[in-house]
Amino acid sequence: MVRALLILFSVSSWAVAGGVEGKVTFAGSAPAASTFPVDRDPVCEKVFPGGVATDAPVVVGADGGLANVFVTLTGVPAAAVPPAPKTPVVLDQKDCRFLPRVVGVRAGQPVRVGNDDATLHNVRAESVANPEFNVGLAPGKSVERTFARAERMVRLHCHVHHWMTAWVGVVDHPYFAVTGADGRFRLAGVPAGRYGVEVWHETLGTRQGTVTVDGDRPAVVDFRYGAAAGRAR
Amino acid sequence: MTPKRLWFHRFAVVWSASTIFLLLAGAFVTSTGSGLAVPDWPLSYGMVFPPMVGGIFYEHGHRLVATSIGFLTVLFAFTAYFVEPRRWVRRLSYFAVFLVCFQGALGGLTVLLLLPPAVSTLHAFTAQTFFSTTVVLALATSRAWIEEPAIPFASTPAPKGVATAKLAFITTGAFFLQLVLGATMRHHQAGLAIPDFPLHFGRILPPLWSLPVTLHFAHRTFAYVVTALTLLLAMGVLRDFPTRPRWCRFAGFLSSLVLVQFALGVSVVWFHRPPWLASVHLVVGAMCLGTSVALSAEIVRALRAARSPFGTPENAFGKKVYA
Repeated sequence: MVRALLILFSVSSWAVAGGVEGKVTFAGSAPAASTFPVDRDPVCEKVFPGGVATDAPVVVGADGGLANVFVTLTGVPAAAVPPAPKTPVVLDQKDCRFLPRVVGVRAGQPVRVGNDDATLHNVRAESVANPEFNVGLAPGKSVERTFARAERMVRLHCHVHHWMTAWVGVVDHPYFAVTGADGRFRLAGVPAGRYGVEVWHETLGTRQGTVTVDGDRPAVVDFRYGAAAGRAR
Repeated sequence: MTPKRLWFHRFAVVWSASTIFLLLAGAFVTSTGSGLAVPDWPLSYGMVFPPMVGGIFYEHGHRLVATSIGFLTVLFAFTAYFVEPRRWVRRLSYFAVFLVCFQGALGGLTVLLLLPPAVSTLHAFTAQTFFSTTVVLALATSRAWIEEPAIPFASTPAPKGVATAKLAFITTGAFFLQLVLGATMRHHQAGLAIPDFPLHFGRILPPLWSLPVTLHFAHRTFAYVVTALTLLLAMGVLRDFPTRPRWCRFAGFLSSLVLVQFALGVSVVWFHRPPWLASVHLVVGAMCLGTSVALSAEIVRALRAARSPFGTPENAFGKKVYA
């Protein structure tokens, strides 16, 4: 009975669900990319001519938009949370990089990492709330794992190619997004209410804000990072 | 010295020197962050010879060198069984076999458990213990050890000599402790936890005491202690044992090594821990320990000679068998 009421409440909330959108910007000039020796891998040397791989965590668009920022709501009531989907979130190891670099996944939803390169990769998950793992991936192979508990953020790393890093935000509700190249994000279907908004960037750290969702019009919240922001972890 | 024992000694020297190369290969695994580049064990990506690309080169290369040293160790113990008349030398070579097997298991365990610092640190400590064992065996099989009569310890000026001998053992213990501190710091990724030198975040004492900072500070501070102990030991040996040229050579070499090691440690901080520098720092640390162990072994030999009615037990045994 209680379960039925909760579902009814959730459905009625979705009926008036709005959204949250905004933009994350970065003020100042982006730090220079880190460089890494490719170390005798002909496949990656084709991607990085000269044998020096680059990795730029801070990607800033022409209008200051900051890419690869994980955005999530906080304070979402459990009753408003639909079950986690069973379709996996997919990451690829392609051109000796993780693509995409930052993804969000529901707790309990599978994550699939595939190796699209003609070289060996591994996937090491550095996690605190979930079991860690380290899996080798031959060309064309993939691995599927599920993070059962919410955690921001799980780091995926390839120890064969040290510059290869990706981040997985594991969230216990569906209201999360990753900023695109223009720094914009949109969370759709958010039930009416007042929420916290947290944004996370791998080197610039976190920012918090609040937002009130009321009706069908999207609530807008923007965030701004500066060049002096600290490291997240 | 019979040709058989001469070749046995040469084998011991090659084996011990090869172990330095193994230490260097292991150091590169950690310094380059390649410890998990191969996720499985004992095979590598299900293969005996995977493509040696990226971090796999360091991790699998370390495994190959370690396997070779393992075979050399078994072969050495096997040879010792037939060639070596001294029971303690044979037993020490069997102990080396145990150590190398234990070390291999630890290496596999640390990969499968995703590099827990406790297991990785024990792996590093066992590596240093194994290397020290090879040094003692190389020394004990040498012509000088077997054929030259050990000067009984009591024949030296007793009070000063005894103090210096004790200092040698204390210094060896201090080197072991310093290597454990270094390995613990290394496996907690605390090599640059304090980014400046000689101060700590611009102060005499660090302003915060997180685990990485504490480990780094402990390793750095104890480096002063070990350096001071080594220089005191060298002065003591030169003063108290001028008639023992090999001891003086060990002491001189050790004090030179420890100064190089100190400079390497400082350089690791100043140059932001480039992998080759951090790896050389580890290897020179092992050489310091090995030299200190060698000097201590010589002192133990002299002490045993002082207690034996025949001079050194080895000499008495050697004369009986080979004279």
